[in-house]
Amino acid sequence: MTHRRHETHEISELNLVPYMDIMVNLIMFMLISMEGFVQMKIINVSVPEIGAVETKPGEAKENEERLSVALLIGDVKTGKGGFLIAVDGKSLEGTPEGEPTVPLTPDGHYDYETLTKKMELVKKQQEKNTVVTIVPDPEVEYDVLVKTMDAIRRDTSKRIMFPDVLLGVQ
Amino acid sequence: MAPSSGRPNQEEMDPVVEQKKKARRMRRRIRNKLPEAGELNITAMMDILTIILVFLLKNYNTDPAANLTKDLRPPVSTSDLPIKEAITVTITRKDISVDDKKVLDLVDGRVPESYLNVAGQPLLIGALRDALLSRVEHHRQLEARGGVPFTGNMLLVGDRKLDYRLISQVLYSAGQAQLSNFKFVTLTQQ
Repeated sequence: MTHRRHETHEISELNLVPYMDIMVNLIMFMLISMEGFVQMKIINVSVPEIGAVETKPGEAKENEERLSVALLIGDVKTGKGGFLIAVDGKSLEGTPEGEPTVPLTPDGHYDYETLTKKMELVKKQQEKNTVVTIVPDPEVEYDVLVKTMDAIRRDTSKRIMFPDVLLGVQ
Repeated sequence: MAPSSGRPNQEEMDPVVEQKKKARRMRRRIRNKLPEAGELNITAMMDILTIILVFLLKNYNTDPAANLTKDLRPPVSTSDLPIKEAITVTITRKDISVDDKKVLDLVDGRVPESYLNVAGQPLLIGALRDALLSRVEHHRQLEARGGVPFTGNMLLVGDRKLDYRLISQVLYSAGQAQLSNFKFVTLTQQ
């Protein structure tokens, strides 16, 4: 009996149209919300380790190549905007007293091109050093910090300059 | 083959012939059910769409680009290093989250005073450190069970207009939670 019932039973067909509706809608939604695969990359940053040995001014002689290079970013709003480059604790040559090494452009923006050129001078003195300690003012924007890191990573001929960054606090 | 006439006789009762008749009936039934020319067989397309959907769902879940809003626009950078999965701290203009779970709200782009200055350390955001410590603990347990070694990596996804004070507070708190390799997530130039 059951044998016969099986052979006369028809396979009912699955109506795929509603499934298709949902599928197409979901896929379109996800493709659009991912905005054509926005590319994201990373920048490696460290903080100075507590207790790490730092070269002090005066000890520089035994380690000629590895002086500490510091880059202070002054805030635009305080009127002391711009970059102060310090090598081994002393301001870079040519820095006016109490003024940034790379002041703002006449229309009040940070001057990244001049910064890159000045850092090339520093790099010439220390070919092997790839580490800069960046110390921004608390009010400096994150965007400025990232652009600064971009400006010192490679020089104008696209060679590696200072890709390693330590962040410090004032 | 003699056509089936429905008239029972000795031959048709034979099991082998009976089976042949069944096969003939099934074939006719299937033949009658063949789609006409012009009708689309969408079963194959359903397979592809389902697989695409599963892939997109997986990407949508793990891709940091999926939760970009006007409050979360990372800065543009020329950096070229690829993103690798790690504990993620997301700082929008309105709040801070760890691995997609909100930790605290920001007021005016700053951490409210009540969260700061924990244990006498002015840069420390206690709630953030605790949230990070629980994630670190989770990862260390995974490592103990024979999983991936703990790296101390942390991804920082931050809006471009945040000030450095906030970044330094977050990095300090993360340092207190045993994380030391920070990776700033940026957009590439389009």
